Parts: sequence; C-alpha cells; structure tokens
Amino acid sequence: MIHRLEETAEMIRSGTPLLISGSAEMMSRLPKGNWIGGTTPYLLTDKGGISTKDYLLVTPLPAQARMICIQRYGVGGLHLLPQDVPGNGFSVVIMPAGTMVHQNFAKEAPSYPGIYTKALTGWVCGPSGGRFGGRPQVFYGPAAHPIEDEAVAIHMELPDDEVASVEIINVYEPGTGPSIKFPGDGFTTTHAIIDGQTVLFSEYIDKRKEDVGLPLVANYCGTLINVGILHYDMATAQVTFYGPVFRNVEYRFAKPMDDMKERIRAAMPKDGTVPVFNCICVSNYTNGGLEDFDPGAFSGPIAFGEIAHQVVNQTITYMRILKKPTI
Amino acid sequence: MQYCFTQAGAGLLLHQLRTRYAEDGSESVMAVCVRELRDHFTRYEAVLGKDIEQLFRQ
Repeated sequence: MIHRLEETAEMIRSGTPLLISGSAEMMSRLPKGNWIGGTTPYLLTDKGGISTKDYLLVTPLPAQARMICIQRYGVGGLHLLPQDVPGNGFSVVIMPAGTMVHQNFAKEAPSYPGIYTKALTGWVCGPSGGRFGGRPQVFYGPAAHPIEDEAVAIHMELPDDEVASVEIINVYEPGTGPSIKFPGDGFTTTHAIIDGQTVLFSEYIDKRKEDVGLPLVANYCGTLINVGILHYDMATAQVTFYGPVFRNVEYRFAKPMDDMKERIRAAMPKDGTVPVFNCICVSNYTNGGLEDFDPGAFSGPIAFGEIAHQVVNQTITYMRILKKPTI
Repeated sequence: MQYCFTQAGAGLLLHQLRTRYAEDGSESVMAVCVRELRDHFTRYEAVLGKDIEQLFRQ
C-alpha cells in the first residue's frame, strides 16, 4: 500500500517491521526504526504503476513473525547472509543496483551452501530520480540513513507451524532456437558456444537480428531463470547482461511475446494467494505498460533485479507463508 | 510447455546439487546432497506436493 510521509513515519513509530520503497528524498525524512528501504523511480500500487515523489510504498511484515535483527552486509560479509536467514523464518534483503555488492551476490550466491533451503527474498533497488537519474540507495532503518555500497536485510522468525516459500512468476519461456552456453561466469562475455561452436556472441546477435528485448532463458531443473541483454557492442565484441550468465548452463532466447500485460495477468496465482512481499522487474513494468494494471494483492516495489534466493531478472517474485501440514 | 516450479528454490537446489556432485562424485558429497534435498522437501512439503504430482504426470 502507498502512504504519505507522515503516515509512514507513524507506522514506523508503532514498531511494526516494514519494507519501504520510494524516492531517496522522502525516505531520508523518515524516523529511525524497524525498517529497511530501497530507492525506486516507480511503485506498483493496487491501482497500477505510478512514478511519485509524494508517496512511499510500505509493506508491513506479518504480525506473527518475530524480528530477529536488521543487518548490513558489505561485499566481504555477503557469504554470511544465507546462514543468517532464520531456520524457520525468512529474510528480506535490498541491495543497490550496479554496485559491487549486487554484482558479487548475483555471481556468487548460486554457490553458497544452504542458499536454496531457506527463505531469502528481496530486491535490487534502482535510482529514484527522473528517468533513472541519481544513485541507487538502500536505507538502514535503525539509523535512518542511506547506504550506497552495502546490502541491508531484515531477518524474521516464524511460529513453528508456518513456513515461508519464495516463488517466481516468469512470463517468458525458452524459444526453439539453438542452445547457447558461455565459457565463463559473469555480467559480460565476448564469446558463446552455440550448438557446440564457439562464436563471437555480438556477431551472432547482429547477424541473426536476435531481439535483445527478449531475455535468455535457462531451465534449472524446472525453474526458469532469465538473463536480459543490457547491450552489445560490435566494436569491442562485448555483450553485457543485466545479471550474470553461468558456465555450463544452457540458455535459449525466449519465445517472442505479443502482450506482456495479458501474459502477466494470466500467470498470476488464481488461488487467492496473498503474498507477504512481492516485487516486479522494471523491464516487465516498462515493457508491459503496467500503468493501468491492477495487480490485486501483488502491489510492491519495482525492482532492478528480484531476489528469489539468488538474483533473478524479468520476473515477479513473491513470498507467501503457509501452514505446515500436520502429521 | 514443460511443467515448471513456481517455488524458486526447488529447481535451483536440484541444479546446484547436480553441479556440485558432477565436480566431486564422492560418497561424502552425495550424503550432503541427499541431506539437503531431504531438508528442503520436508520443509516445503506443503508447497511442493502439487509440483511433484504434475512432474510425475509428464
């Protein structure tokens, strides 16, 4: 839900742990408390997407969850994040886009032991100025100050009979084109291995006139993960991605999509799911024309990378809490 | 289209363990992989039941 500054300050003073997104200018006027925040140019409200400097999007964390702590993570301490996620609970982390902490987590998280067995979600925040101006900042609520080079996380414990599950909605699916692999891990590459042949990837994209608005999609044993192409440069042969590609993972360009808004609508859960947190990728927002999109219970921050255990792109990521089955 | 998990951790964990075991196929690594799988599927029984049913049907 969106709230004005004073309403948000009142919610903070009540002590409820909160996730907040909006402009740096507004968040820097909030009081100290149990909250973490991230800057963004857009908010997906229950009436559609907006760009605003008058409201903040506030997600109160569920009353039955007990806050353990709010913590900051620099590049050197990121590997400790999965072990800090409570055994029965969840953590929400926010990191600033394009920073070392974002790049390091995106690249290294898939190899962290235990990263997929605990509920870790969150988002990569972006610049909050007009048309992506300004620097992405996270806010550490206990001191109410902005940080540009660290992640902030809130760790929450759940009652024994509940479990938090991190889920993704991916509207893309792999196309029928050739299999694409990369020789190394990272946000950039010059080469790709396509149907077993090593080629200059920029040349391949250019010759085939591949639509770089479509992400590469990898199937991780039933979980589809996208990697978007930020740009490619024919002069340097460098291709830059929104997230890292990984060696020995097989990718394919996504199938073209006619109507993203309709696809998102069709893919949303129909079982009455009310997420405790969710976020949507900025490229889904801008390409999907979601200004008049009613997300139902899925209002949330517009992200420059979603965190569903690891950094993912071009998805809607959400977390829900379920009762454990009684035996 | 192939059935896909919405629960993000299941497929990603299977991929991580498969990669780890491919790099070191020792019995101790296998034991760790089995333990992590058991922990995960026990924890998320409520969520994954419908996914497992769908996968069996394919």
